[in-house]
Amino acid sequence: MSFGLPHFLTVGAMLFCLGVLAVMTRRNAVGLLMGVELILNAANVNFVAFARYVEHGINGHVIAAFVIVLAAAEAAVALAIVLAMFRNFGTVHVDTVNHLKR
Amino acid sequence: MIFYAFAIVTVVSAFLVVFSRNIVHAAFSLLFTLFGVAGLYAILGADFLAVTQVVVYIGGILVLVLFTVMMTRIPKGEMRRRGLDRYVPGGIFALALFALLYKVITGTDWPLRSPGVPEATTAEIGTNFMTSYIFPFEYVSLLLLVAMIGAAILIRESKMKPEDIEAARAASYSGEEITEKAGGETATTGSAATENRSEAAAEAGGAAGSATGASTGTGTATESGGPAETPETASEEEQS
Repeated sequence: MSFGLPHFLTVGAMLFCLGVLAVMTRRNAVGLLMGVELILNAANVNFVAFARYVEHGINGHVIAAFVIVLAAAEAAVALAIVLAMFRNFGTVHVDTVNHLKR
Repeated sequence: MIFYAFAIVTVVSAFLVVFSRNIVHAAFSLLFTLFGVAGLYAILGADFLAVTQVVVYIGGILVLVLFTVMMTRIPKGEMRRRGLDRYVPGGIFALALFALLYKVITGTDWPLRSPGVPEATTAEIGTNFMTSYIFPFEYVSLLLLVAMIGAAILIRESKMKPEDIEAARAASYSGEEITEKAGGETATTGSAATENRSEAAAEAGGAAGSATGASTGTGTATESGGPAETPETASEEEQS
């Protein structure tokens, strides 16, 4: 069973679509964040796969490292927001925190 | 062969992340997804990234997520199933997106070259950080500082006491039950009920317990740190 670039890209596409699905269906703010993490991981898989099979350089790895750092910063700030939301509203469901709509 | 093992672990646990009702189960499934992606990195010859994935994602982000899940735990009875009205449009969109991506993946004539033997990448990545990518590198360090300050400020002060949080949460969920039971009737009387509640809240000495509209079904305390909704006002909402 051999594998190549399309296999890795397919795994990345699956991860991306599942992340989009999580962002679209989840109501819990932490669940939304997990969906975003899936999307970022899908992008990273694609970067590294292209770096190995097409580009033969190190650029894809460097960009993937940047993406990991950005994901860490995003997770820290977003989870702080979720905690603040829970403290001020008593819930983490994103569709019940809609004070600006009224 | 080992590629398929990692790919199956990654995709199956990603499915569990999306579809499991319990958010704790989703978080633990995310653990296996991240491990699977780290394995894919290792297969692709990205040794530094595989280790970074394990250290940063699993050791950092996942622990943060689990702590947040534990600190914002909603009781099991209040965990509600996501209805088909959310799954159907999301599923259709995700399937269409995957079909499009798969068509592009299989249809494109990628300029492939034979991969060769993987080499150690850490030193080269470090050299690139300090030469070609020096500006993004400094920018990311600044961003991390900003994120740290922002997170510290966001979680700094607590305006509500724990019992007020409990009251607001109870009001929130009871409001949702009213909406589900009464349906259209509350939608028509929703605005009036909101006004009554805000008047009652104003009479209570500027108390912050402004209930939300019955159509959306949330009852939460607003700003200014006043006393939140007492159980009496919550029961009044149920009567109205």
